Amino acid sequence: MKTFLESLKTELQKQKLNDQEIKEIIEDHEEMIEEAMNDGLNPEELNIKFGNPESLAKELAEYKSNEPDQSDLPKDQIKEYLFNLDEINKLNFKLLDEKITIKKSSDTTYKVICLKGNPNRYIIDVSNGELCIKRITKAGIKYRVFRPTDSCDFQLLIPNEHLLDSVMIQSKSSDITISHLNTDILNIEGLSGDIDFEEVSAKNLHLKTISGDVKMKRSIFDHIAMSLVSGNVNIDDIQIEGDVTIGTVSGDFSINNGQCNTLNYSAVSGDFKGIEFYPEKVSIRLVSGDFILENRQKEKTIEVLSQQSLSGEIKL
Amino acid sequence: MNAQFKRGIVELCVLTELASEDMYGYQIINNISQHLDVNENTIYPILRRLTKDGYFKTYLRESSRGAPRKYYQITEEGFEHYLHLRNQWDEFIGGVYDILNKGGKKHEDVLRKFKNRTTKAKTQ
Repeated sequence: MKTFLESLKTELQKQKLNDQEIKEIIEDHEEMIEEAMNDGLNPEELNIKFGNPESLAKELAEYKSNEPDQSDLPKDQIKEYLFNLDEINKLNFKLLDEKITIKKSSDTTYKVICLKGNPNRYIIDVSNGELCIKRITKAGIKYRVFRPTDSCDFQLLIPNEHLLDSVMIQSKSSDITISHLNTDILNIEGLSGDIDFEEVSAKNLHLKTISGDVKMKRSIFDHIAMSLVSGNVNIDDIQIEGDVTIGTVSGDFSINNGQCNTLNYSAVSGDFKGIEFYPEKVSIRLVSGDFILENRQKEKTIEVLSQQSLSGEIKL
Repeated sequence: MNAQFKRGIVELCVLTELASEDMYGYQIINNISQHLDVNENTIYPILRRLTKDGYFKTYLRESSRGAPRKYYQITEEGFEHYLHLRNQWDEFIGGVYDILNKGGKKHEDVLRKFKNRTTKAKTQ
């Protein structure tokens, strides 16, 4: 039945379903086919039960196009919330699958914009200097189901160069895009959403994700602690004053142009590749992944504090 | 059968299955395809759509087969939707039977009446 799954995947891609959806559908089918095989169905019976991948993919895609157009509220329904710059020194997001974009504005006020969904299902408020955006999951006594169409896309506009104390973002599958942010603490916890940074500066960056990919460009940090499972990381032009601690299982890590003090890197099967990246000291723990640094400036030495590898290659 | 019509009926069947207990995907497909001539191609997309609409929630539960199974659970809104569809269906199918039964409840009744009419027409 491997061929069924393979052709289903191809057909779903033809129908232009997004990767996340394809992944879910394939996982569901892996489970169902396994059940059917445990049930003792022979290949012919399996064919009857599971039918034709092409028509299945079409059926799944049809719903996608029939979905009520939940994107983009009419212009007059886009909601905006304005907050005074002096009121805010912290940001706190507790979300699930909302798209989050943080960028700078030339205004002198903070602006939260809901581009779609139902903003009434959220708390968007400032108290004690903290701007908070949270989903309401319980309304009164009656538990209310949060419909997928209620999910908002949030845009936060921050007055240019305004320095914050802390930014906390917790979410499950939100894709997060941050540019031009200045903060002491930047703490992001996600499961599967992708994270994208551009010109972000923070003293302490804590980042945790399971399968989300991370991209960073032109950013400056004092310290970084990153924990990933299968997400890939891509970093271009980074300056780190202090130490970097990275733990990953199978995600690959690539870094171009940058420096840091001590790099503590541990991985199971993910590969690390650095080009023109100059840590002063490194400590490496690998199982089967490789660790490769390609640097041209030979006068800059890298002190190896410790290195352990089961079958991976370490090249400095 | 008209695809759209079939979909509506299968949707009600899926909701009915899950209104009684939480089930995993293969179980739902098996239960329904035992009675109706539909396969996974029809049932799974409906299951997925109703989940997306917030009518079902899913959770993983350990199983004897090794990997955990994904279970579907009807939500409060799903249950309301089920009641709504069920009422519509009962009303519709009731109306259909009223019409069908006009000639009698059985094939023999209908056939007898038909013969009566045709023989009358010949003798006239």
